[in-house]
Amino acid sequence: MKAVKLISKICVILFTFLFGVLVVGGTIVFENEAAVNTFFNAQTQEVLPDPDAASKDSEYFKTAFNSVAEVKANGQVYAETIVAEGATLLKNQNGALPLAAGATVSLFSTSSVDPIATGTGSSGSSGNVISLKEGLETAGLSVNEELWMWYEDNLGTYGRVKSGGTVGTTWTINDATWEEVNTAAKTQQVDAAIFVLSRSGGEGIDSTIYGGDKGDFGDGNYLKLSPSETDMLKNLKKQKDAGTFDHIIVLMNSANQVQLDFIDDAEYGVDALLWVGTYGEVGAYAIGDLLAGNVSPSGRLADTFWREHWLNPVHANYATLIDTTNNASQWNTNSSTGQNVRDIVYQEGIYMGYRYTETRYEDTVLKDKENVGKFVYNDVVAYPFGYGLSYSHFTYSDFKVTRNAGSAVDGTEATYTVSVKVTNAAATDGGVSGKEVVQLYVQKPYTAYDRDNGIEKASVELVGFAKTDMLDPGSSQTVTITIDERDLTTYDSYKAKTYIIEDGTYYLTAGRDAHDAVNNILAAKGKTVADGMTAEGDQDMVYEEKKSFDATTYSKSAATGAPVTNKFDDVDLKLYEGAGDNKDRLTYMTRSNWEGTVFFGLDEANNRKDTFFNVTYTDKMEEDFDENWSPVVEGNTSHDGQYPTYGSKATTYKLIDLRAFEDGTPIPYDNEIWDDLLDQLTWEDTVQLLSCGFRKTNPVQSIVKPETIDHNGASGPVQPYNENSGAGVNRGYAVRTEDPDRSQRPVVYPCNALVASTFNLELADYYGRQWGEDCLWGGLSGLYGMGINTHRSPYGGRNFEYYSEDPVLMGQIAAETTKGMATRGVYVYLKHCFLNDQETARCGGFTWANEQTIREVYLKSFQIAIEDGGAQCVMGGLNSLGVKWTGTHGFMNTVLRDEFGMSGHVVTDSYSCYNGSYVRGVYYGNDIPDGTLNTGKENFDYVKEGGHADMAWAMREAAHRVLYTVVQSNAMNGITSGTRIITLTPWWVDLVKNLQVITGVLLCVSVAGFAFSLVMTRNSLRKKGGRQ
Amino acid sequence: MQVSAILKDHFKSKTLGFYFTVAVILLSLVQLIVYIAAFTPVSWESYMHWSVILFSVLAIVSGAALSVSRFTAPWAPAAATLMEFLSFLMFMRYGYMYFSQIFFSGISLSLIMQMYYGYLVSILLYLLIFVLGVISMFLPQTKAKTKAKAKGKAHAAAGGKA
Repeated sequence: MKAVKLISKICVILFTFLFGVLVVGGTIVFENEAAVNTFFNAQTQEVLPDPDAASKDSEYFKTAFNSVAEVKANGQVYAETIVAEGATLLKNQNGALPLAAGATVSLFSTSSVDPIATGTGSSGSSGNVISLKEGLETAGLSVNEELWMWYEDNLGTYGRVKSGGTVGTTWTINDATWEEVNTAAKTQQVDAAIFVLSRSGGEGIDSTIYGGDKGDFGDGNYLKLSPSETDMLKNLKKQKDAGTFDHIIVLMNSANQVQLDFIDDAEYGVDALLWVGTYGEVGAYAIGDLLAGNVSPSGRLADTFWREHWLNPVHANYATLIDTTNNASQWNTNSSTGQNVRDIVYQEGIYMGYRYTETRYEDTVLKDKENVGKFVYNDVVAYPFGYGLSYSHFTYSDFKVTRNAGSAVDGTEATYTVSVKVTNAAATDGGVSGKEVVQLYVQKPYTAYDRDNGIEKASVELVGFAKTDMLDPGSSQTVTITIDERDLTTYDSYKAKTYIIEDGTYYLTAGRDAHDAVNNILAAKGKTVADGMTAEGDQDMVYEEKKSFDATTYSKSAATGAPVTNKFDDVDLKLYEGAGDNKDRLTYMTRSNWEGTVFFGLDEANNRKDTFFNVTYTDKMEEDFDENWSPVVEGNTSHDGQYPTYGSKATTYKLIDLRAFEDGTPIPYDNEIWDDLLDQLTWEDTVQLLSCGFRKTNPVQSIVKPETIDHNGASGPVQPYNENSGAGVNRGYAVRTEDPDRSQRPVVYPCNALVASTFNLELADYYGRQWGEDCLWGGLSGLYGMGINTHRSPYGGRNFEYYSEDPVLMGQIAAETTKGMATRGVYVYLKHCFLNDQETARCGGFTWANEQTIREVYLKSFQIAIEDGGAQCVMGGLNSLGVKWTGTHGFMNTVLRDEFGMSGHVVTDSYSCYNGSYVRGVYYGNDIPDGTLNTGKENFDYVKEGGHADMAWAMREAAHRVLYTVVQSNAMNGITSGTRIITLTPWWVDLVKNLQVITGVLLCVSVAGFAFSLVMTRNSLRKKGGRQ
Repeated sequence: MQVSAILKDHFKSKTLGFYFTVAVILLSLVQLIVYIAAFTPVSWESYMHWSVILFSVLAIVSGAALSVSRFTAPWAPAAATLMEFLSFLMFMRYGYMYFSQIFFSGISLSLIMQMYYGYLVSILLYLLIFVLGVISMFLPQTKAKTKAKAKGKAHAAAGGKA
């Protein structure tokens, strides 16, 4: 009996443990059902086809290809073209490039054999990346084999060392010094030495500019040459001098621009610099062609390339340079991560990137303002925004601007048509065929009104651009760019509180880059090199027009006609009612007082300066912050407190019935038929739709709304073509045709900055179609992309996902890509909306900026992609706008929808890193969570109890938006009025439930056994006692 | 004097198992204090749940109460450990999202070391409590009475006072 007692005791402990773990663990996994389904690829739905499907054409979005192999081949063509047209030649002296046919080259640095194809994190991808050696040899060049082999053989000893996981990856540089490289290999006689300079970036972490684990970064600045790289370049110079090779060429392989303080230093002797970004799977072929001269470079920089990053004033208030210990408080610690949240004050206002460098440069030349301070343009800027060389030379002429008046009758607004004749001057200076980018910049007057009302004006702003066709030597093309007069407006945050035109002279100029544009305007103002200009300008390329103050014409949205007025007072410490003393302490950067308002985060020695704006917290801030967590919005006034109709049987629509009228015309969002369909939804259907958006939208059986796959891909789709096929959700071509390559991933596409650098809208459209094909074959209806946050700093972790520092370039490229993807029935989620321009403290970080800055810079790319590209959806940022989480701020309704006319839904960013109640967010237009949590889902039940008509109607509208987006997408491919959808219980759910029952029973048996053994022992003792 | 004698007698009758149980109870108390201290700040309160505290209190109370009497003492470690286990389950139930956050990019020692002290210390304490509790369950809580009685009888038979 003793043994029985012992065994049953052990069993009780064991099964208590197992039962407890299974019950609680089961609860947790059921809450995260979608994530677990994805992990196990478990089937969750079955689509029963229409018996009459054969007689109906249900392929609403058709592919142009026959196999995954064809899709990928086409993807490779576009990926290569993007690099060929986007890679930017920045320096080319002493006839370094192009290399002669059959030229031999030595490739230096471990990155030459291990280049960076893409970034890391949710948009990272992997594939068979073509080596530089193959790329160069295919282009007809010859590579020093011995040196190549040495680097390959020593890749384990030298080269980047990764740490961290998928997100938050960091890398050391760890390159070989000159001494360490095999002597015979490195001194082989060749025509040129090519040094590959690589830097990685990725989600979850910004590159370090200062401090941290300095490792082999020298002074902790990751984007500066490391000691080993410095050593290598200096020794290459010595070898060049010794005649080992004629030229040193640097390939900058990074989406985060490296600090270029070395580029013109005689010690390094660099002859040529080609920026190639992170160039994807097949970009090496394009790089070979560019180096060999098979293709003439036509890329133009999408960012300012700084000579000194410490002279970039955004770094006063950027990422790791903001001290958490000084401004962290108890209540602004992120509740989901427990990390201190930092305040990120966009104190520089609009003066970011070229808007700062060119404006301060102009003021330095004009000398018409006080406190301009010392500013030596060439010490700050290595290459300006829009800059790029070619193997040819282009001249501009016949610059014409025509103003086209708007019409009050048909509601059209005034536009400007700008034309310029571009000639390939190769006939006279020996160039080759090539393409040229014409960039149109505007200068608005900086007036007394501006000074009085806190308005800032950059000296130039890009308003349009065009790329020529391939121009043969001696041939010409007249390019035409049309812009709206609206593009000349300024947002007045503090007085008119809308868009205004001001009294004064407006300039339009066609420039080769931002600096060239300023020089043109300065020339028109009578300035020359003698006044301090870096080069003479061309006043023939300048158009001037005087305008009068107008605060009315553009005070309404062009897209919807809604009045445009301040919506972000709570994000501006100058206007926020809870700003406290911050209002008086904060000074935004102003060109009226450069010297007094420009702060740097670092000094000349790369030492940190605590110049960030340290927000002090107020009770009102805490109150507003806490409101993010309030479960729902209290309110019962909508529709006189009456809830919507649920579960109506009056109509029996299926979602597919609301796709289009019989003549094929799409049924508009506001058609009354939608009301009938929405009435059919039960309460449970509505909650089902809104409670999960983790890489999908949920199915609704009653109206035959299929589950969709919406997945990552800020710079192109990255998931295998058979993603979620086991779940029965993937209805892409690859799965349906059982394509043998369906488990492959799409091509690894280059970074988005390369796409922007092409300045080619037509290419962007075709690129979008290619991404659309990837989605169509992979069963994706929605893509979490494109990433259109701003390159505020070169150190941004996700810069490879984003396009540019300029919102117009970024917005127009994104708009064309969106249109291209829409031809394949894919809806995009522009992300991460907005002011989510750094990774440090991205979870809930408080971002502060004034409305002019927001509307003219950081939100503008979203506006253009929505208004011009028809982008339907966005992903909200993890950050907070002021102290309000983006999901509960309200701008998604008041700005994105009311002003920009966005028709689709909004998904949160990862809802495991949230900073507010997503159910509350529904009221503010944030429709679904990118998470599977049922945490907070009970808040829907709270609404159901009654007295929350406002929330109920907001939920209905959110459901409407999700359904409207999906019905217009490729998710409806294969679905007709006779199709049925059955939702299935995944196998693992049954398994967990059965295990719970089994362990529960075993626990009961063990307890019974233990109790039995106790009784028997006691009886036994009693008997023994009796006998005694 | 009498009280101290009683106490002395009481503890004289206790075995190693009893002290394990006492350790379980004391550690449960420490765990409770740590939990309350770590999760009452506003930024962490969303991870706090009353049931964690309730079961911890029950562990302490039941463990202590059952330990008093020699008849109930054998049940003390089981009751205390069970209640702490329930407390731990609730702790995980309402706080697991933290782990999905901190280990989003994979598990590493450095990430573990970076964990919020409330989690790190609580988990270590829970583990210690479970190990001690389970060991205690297999140990006698008091010295066997029969032996003492037998000793007494033998002493009386030899002419001494029982």
